[in-house]
Amino acid sequence: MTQVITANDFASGGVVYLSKEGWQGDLNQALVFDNDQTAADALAAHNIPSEVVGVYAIDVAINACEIKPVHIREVLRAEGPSPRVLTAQPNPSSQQGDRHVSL
Amino acid sequence: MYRYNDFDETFVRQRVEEFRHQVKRRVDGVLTEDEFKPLRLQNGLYLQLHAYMLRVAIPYGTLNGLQMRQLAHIAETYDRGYGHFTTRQNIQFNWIDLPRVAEALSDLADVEMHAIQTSGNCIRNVTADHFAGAVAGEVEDPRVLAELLRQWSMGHPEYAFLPRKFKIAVTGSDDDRAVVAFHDIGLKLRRNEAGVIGAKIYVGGGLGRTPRVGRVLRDFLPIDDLLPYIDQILHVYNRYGRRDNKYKARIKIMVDELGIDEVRRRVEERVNLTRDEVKPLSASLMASIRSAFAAPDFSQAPAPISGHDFALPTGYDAWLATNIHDHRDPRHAIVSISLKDHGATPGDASADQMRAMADIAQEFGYDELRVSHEQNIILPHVAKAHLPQVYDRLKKAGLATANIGLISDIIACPGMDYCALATARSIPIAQDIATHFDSLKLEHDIGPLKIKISGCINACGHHHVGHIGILGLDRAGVENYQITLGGDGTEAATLGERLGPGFPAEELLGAIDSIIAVYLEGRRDRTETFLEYTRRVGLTPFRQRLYPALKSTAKKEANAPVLERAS
Repeated sequence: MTQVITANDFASGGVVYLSKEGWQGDLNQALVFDNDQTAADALAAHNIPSEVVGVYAIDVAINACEIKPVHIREVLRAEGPSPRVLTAQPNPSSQQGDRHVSL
Repeated sequence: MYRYNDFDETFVRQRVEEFRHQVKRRVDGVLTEDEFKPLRLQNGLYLQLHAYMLRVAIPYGTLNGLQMRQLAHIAETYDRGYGHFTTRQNIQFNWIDLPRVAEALSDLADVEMHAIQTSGNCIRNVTADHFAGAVAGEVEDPRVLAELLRQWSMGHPEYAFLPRKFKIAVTGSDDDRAVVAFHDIGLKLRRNEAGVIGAKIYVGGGLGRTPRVGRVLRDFLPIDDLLPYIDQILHVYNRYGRRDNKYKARIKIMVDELGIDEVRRRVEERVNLTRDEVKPLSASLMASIRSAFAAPDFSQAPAPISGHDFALPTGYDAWLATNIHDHRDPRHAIVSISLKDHGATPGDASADQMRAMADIAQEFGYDELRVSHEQNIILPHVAKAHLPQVYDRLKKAGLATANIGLISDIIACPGMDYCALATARSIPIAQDIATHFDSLKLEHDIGPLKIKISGCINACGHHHVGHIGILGLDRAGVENYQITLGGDGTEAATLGERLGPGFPAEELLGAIDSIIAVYLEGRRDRTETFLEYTRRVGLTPFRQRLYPALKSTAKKEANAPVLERAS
C-alpha cells in the first residue's frame, strides 16, 4: 500500500507530513513510500518528540500527481473540518482500533 | 452567584503558573510528550485532529456577563473567533497554540475561571439543572450542593487518579433537566416527611459503550450527611473500581459486578468506620454558599405589558412559543437562547454572539447566564416586559432561532470534524437534518422531539437518551449511522432501542424522514408527542417502514432479524 507519514506539530497541534525538507503541512509535498517496511523505517527515524506528536503512517492514493488520503479521517485531517460536506467515501480497511476511549 | 475566596484565587493562580512552567519545559524539550500529556490533560488541554483543544470549566453551567465577555476575548485572541458549548456545560476552544495556553488560562483566572479537572480520571465539572433558581417547585437551588461538591472535589488528593473519569449531576426539581440518572453519581434534591432537605442518590448511571440507568443507592439522605457519604462512594470506587481494563473501569461496571446492595454495604461500612473523623458540615459555610445563590430581587421588575400599542417584531410569537419557560416569579420568564440556528454547528457561538449575550444578560437578565447540557444558553431571569427587546437584540445577533425542544434543537458532539476519538462526523448530520426540516417548515408541526448525535461509542452526544438517537460508527472505513428510538434523559430515564442495521451518511436523512412520516401519519393528534407515540406503538411501525422486508415477519416477532434495508 502507498503510504505517507503524518503527525501533529507539537506547538500548534497542526497536521504535518514528512517531506524531504522535514515536517510541513502540505500533503502533496509528503514523501511517498511504496511498501510498508520503508515507511516503518522512516517512521522510526523521524519520530522526534521535540518536533511532533503521534507519528504514524497513513494509506494514500495518488491520482494525477495529487496525493489523497484513503480514509475519511485522514481526508478531514488534510483538508480541515467539513461542516457542509457529506460525500460518498471510498471503502478502505478500517484504521480504527482500541484507542477509542474518551479521555 | 458564587465568587472566589482567597483560597480559590490562590489555587487557580498557582495552577496557571505551574502549567506555564510545564509548557515551557515541554517547549524547551525537557519534557517528552509522554511526560507532558498527563499534565496537559489535568489542565483541560487535549490534542485533537487539527490542533490543541482547551476545555474550560463552567461550574454547574453558571456564568455572568463579564465571564461570557472574557470567553469572547479568549476566542478572538487565542482561537479563531468562536467557541463550542458542550454537553458538560463547558466551553471548548478548538484552535489553541500550545505556547499561548498559559496566557489564555491567566486571562480566564482574571474572571474566576479555569480548565482544571476538565479531563483525566478525576471528578469532572459538577453539572446542574440549567433552570436552577429560576423554575417553580424546586426543593432548593441545586447549585448550592453542586458548589459544595466543587469545593470538595477541586484538587482532592485522594481522587486525582481514579480508575476512570467521574461525573456528578444535581437537580432540585421533579422535572429532571440534568440527566441525573445517567451520571456516575446523580443527586435529586427532595424533602423528607419532616421537611428536612436531602437527596436521592443514584449511582452507576452512564452512557458510553455500556449505557446504564443509575441505580438508587439511597432514597433519601439529609444534606448534612451527603458529603461524607459521597466521599465514601468515591473511596469505595477508588478501591474496588477496575483498573485492569479501561472499558470496564467506570463505576457503573463496579455496580454491575458487585450489585447495588453490596456497594451500599461497603459504602455504609466506610461511613460508619470514618464517622468520628468527619467534621460536621459547617453551618456558616453552607449559609455562605446559600447566600451566594440567593435569588435577585424580582420585586422591582416592571409589570408585564398587556394591550401594548407597538408592533411586535416578526417571528416573536413563534419564539415565545418555543424559547420561553415559566419562571417561579409571575413577572419573569426563563429565556432559552438557541445555539442551533438551522445549518449552524450545534453549540457554537462566535465572539460577537458571546458579547451580545453578555450585554443582554447584564441589561435585562440580572447579569446571569447558564449553559445547558443541550448546548444552548439560558437567561434564567428576564422580566416579561423586556421580552420584546430581548428578542429584538437576540435577532440582531443571529440568536433568535425559535426551535428549543424541536427537531432542529439537536445535541451533536464535535465528531470526526474535530475529535481524535470519533469514528464518524456528527456536525454535518445535525446540520442536514436541521436544514431539511426547516426547509419543509415542518418542525413546529412535528412538535417536541430531541435528536442527539454521537460520533463514536463514547456517546458525548447522549444518543442513548435521544428520542431519536444517532450513533456514528466506522464500518470498514466508511461512516455508518445507527438509529435508536425512545430514549429519554428526563426523570423517566429510558435508554433508546436500536432500530436495526445502520445507514450510510447519504441515506440517513431519508431514514429520519421516514421515521417522522410514520409518526405524523400515526399520532392520535397533535398533542401526542413523538416520544409518547413511540412508547405507545413500539418500534415495529418504524422498522416496517425502514426495513420493508420485515412486514412479512412482523407478526411472528417484533424484534425479528432485519432482512432488507429500504432503499
